[in-house]
Amino acid sequence: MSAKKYFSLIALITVLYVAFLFLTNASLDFYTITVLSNIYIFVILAVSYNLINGVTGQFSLEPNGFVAIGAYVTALLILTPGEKLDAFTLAKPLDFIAAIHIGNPYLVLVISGVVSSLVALTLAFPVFRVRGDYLAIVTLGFGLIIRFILINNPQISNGSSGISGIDDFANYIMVGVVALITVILVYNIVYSKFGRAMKAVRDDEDAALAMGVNTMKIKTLAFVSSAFFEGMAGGLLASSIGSISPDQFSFMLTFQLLVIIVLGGLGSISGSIIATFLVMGGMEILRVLDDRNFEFLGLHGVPGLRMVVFSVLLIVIMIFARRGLLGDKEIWELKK
Amino acid sequence: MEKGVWMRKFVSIVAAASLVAFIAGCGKKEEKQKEIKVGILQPLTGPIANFGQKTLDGIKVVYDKYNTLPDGTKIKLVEVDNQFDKVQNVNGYQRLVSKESVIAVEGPLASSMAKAVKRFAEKSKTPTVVQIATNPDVTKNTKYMTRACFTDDFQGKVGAVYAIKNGYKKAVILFDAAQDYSTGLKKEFEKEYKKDGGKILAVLHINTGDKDFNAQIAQIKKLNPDIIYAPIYAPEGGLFVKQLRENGVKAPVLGGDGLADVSQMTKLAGKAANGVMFTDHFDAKKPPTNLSKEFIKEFENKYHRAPSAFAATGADGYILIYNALKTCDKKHDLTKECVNYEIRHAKNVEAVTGNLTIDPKTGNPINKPAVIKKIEGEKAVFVELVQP
Amino acid sequence: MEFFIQQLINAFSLGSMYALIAIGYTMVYGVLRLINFAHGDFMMVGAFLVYLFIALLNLNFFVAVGFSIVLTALIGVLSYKVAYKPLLDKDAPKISLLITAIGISFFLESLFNLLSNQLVGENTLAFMAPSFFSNRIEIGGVGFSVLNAIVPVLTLLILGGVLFILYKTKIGIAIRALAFDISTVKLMGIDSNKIIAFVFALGASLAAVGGILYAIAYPSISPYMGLMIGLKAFAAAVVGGIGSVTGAVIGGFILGIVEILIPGFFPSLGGYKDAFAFILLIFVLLFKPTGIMGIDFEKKRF
Repeated sequence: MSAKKYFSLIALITVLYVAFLFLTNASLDFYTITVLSNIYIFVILAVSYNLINGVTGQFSLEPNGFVAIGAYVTALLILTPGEKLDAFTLAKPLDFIAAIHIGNPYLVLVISGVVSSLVALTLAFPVFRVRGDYLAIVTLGFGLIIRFILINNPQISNGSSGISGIDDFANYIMVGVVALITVILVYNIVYSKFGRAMKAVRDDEDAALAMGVNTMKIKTLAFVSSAFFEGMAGGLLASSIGSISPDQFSFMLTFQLLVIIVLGGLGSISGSIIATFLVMGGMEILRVLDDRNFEFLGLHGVPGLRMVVFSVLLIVIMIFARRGLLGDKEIWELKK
Repeated sequence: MEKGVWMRKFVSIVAAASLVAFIAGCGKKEEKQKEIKVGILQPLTGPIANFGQKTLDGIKVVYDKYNTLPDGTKIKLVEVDNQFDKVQNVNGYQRLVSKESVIAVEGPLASSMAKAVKRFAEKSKTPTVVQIATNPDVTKNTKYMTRACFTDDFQGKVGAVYAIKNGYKKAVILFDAAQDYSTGLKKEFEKEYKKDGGKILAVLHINTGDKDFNAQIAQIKKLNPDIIYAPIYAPEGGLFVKQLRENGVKAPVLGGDGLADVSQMTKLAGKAANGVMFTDHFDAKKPPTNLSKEFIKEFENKYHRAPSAFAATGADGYILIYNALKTCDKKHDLTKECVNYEIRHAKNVEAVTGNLTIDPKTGNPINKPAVIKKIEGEKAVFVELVQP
Repeated sequence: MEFFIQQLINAFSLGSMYALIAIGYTMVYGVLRLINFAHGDFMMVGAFLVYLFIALLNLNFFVAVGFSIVLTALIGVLSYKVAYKPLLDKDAPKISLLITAIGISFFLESLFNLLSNQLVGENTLAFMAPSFFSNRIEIGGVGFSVLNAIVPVLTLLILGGVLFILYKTKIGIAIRALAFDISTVKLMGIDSNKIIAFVFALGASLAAVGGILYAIAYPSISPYMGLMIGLKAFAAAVVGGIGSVTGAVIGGFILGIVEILIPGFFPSLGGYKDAFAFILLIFVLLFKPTGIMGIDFEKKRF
């Protein structure tokens, strides 16, 4: 597609999409708006998680860690010093923590992303140097360590009580717009020469090396980019819920994202987007499975059933349809 | 390959269709006026499912009796499980408020969840009764959040006052750094204890899920305190006490309502659990009101066991709401504003854990007593009632 | 001094439990090059099954233990047959296997959460072991429980048993051959399937034993306990040298020592106890990725 066609397409999509955002914002009830906002944030997460897992083929379990970092950075930056002194109930915040304040939410989000990427950069070094196999365990452990640090250092994070009263700048429209920007950026990464190199690493790392691809650099690039968007999404999450605490960034979050990108098709951006709607929407709909009053064919809903069904779903998809919905193609490439 | 492509196309169509259906189905809904809905937002699955289920049990018992208003309107309970997950919690709350159009919400349990719905309660002006969440932040600066139980401030204070009164002047605190609840109680105990002349020898911490406390116990042994204040939960508390006694430490242990799960404490610690004291909301053997007595009887009939503090506070939360609904119904003003006003201005409402009076300025109950209990032979024995 | 010895005994006890779980991890990795995330959950399954057998069927403790080990081994084999084998047969990429492993892990956790809530009413249970395990023995001012005395000895015996199987039996040779070169073994007409199934069964049953011992020592069990412990056991296996059974045991002991002694002597670091495993892991990856037993995967196995 020529540059001109491409830009006009993007412009058209943007205009239609923003119109859609405003329309839905005005006509739907609070509940649906809240659910959709959350879905948009998860779209950002899914699409960036797919970058390292699906496009580059490196099995990582990092999202909950970077989301936590992004959320806390946002919370600490966006609250004013006065608000922070109020919010820190367990310990007095460190002077510089209390003092830093940036009022512009967009800048705060970008900084959250940058901080996450820097952390990703430091992690990437020991892990990508050895076997990619270990990436999963290390990222899992990383998520846990972030949690420990947050809990045990109340002077930075207010420990287990967390931080509340975060400004709600992340309204439906803003989240929708940021999601669009993210998707466009990620799309551009995936369909650039870097993206091609990432896919080469995924398909056959040795061959890629032989062809002169600096696999370490590419893997690091993918990892750091994922971290950036995940950090940003963390900031959005913090603002949209309004309060954060260490226990909400657990492995569950990563697991949910894993199910989403596997269902959508590892490596497919449009697949991830569709799957996010399906899974998040599905989870709301599947609430009934946990409800004792629900009856289906004589079987009752039972608390905890929803999660069992979810894990079975993941296993079944992996065994029978591991390429997910779209494999690694985009939805407009399906005819191939 | 063919099959794969077909399967994908099929699933994509189904996906698109469900998405459309989902959004369509979520439009605004009109409610019939024959019934009025009260939302119950609790952790029914997840790590503290136990607490949420027990709360629901208590609510159901009072609901069975009090579910109709003077003019015949039926109250319908809408239960939503927040899975103790922040996102589900917020979604659940919004669902109750905008999709189900409830007139009031009871819950959610636990301070971290309760704090998260504050903003939405205020925005949607929905009266929200948090039946058991002790962090002071939950009701701070709000108009629509009301609490039915005492706060950390109070529990921690009661613990400290009781300790000093009984001559335990040197204490070691062992708290769970990973739990909001525990850090809150520790802070308040520390403050009050020092104020009343007690000496804190050390503040040690554990993390939820820890199983081995030998390192902390070794320190405690060296320090030789009069009493150990351990505002932690039973899974850790039971193991801690067991290891404590195994190591020959004889100092008494005092905790908060987190240790109130006597059966778990006894199962984990065996005889070592005897003598452990804790502050609690309620004692089934010392019902403070007539309604209490009735409630305990009905509860035992229905579930064949005594009600816990969760059931009792769950019932109280509902009673507050029911009372407000009744009053507003008589005034022909069944609106959220009226209900919220009545909840916030509740005076001497007869409830299970005592008579509830709410301070309209803070949203917290005044004069809620705490009970001190001691574990003896697999049961909790009443020690004394502390009235602020 | 007594304090040090006391803590050392605790450390060996804890380390043994990690070791038992690490053995299974390392064997599956050696044979399939797969990090079986679900392995840690086998430990939880072992403990829970004993609890359920006692609570629901009133079985004697040791009978319950026996059944639990067998059933957990079966679950291990089942997970291989139902989930991993189909993918291996299709030559699926590694990432699919890893994702499936996570799926199985989560499935086991959710399933037992459900079962526990439905059958017992709550999910954090108090494990009931015969009290004789907690009886204290005092030698020279140092106190420890009967369990603390039994566990390390038991573990070393089991290690001996496993090494015997690996080096002195036919199936052991087959396992080592598989770990060396799976395609050649298949060419030789050996049924690799049966052997891999055996490895899973063995690993899972060892994990079950580890889990039961853990539950006796720390009687509070929950469906999600396997995740963290499994990760630490894996870290222990890597530290000791992934692919080496002896390494797994050594790694387990090292981890036990680190986790108990460091908070013992530096109490302020107590909050980071669980993080030590990962810190060790990162160190090993940075400086000696093949671990202590230093097995280079192109040359030797186990």
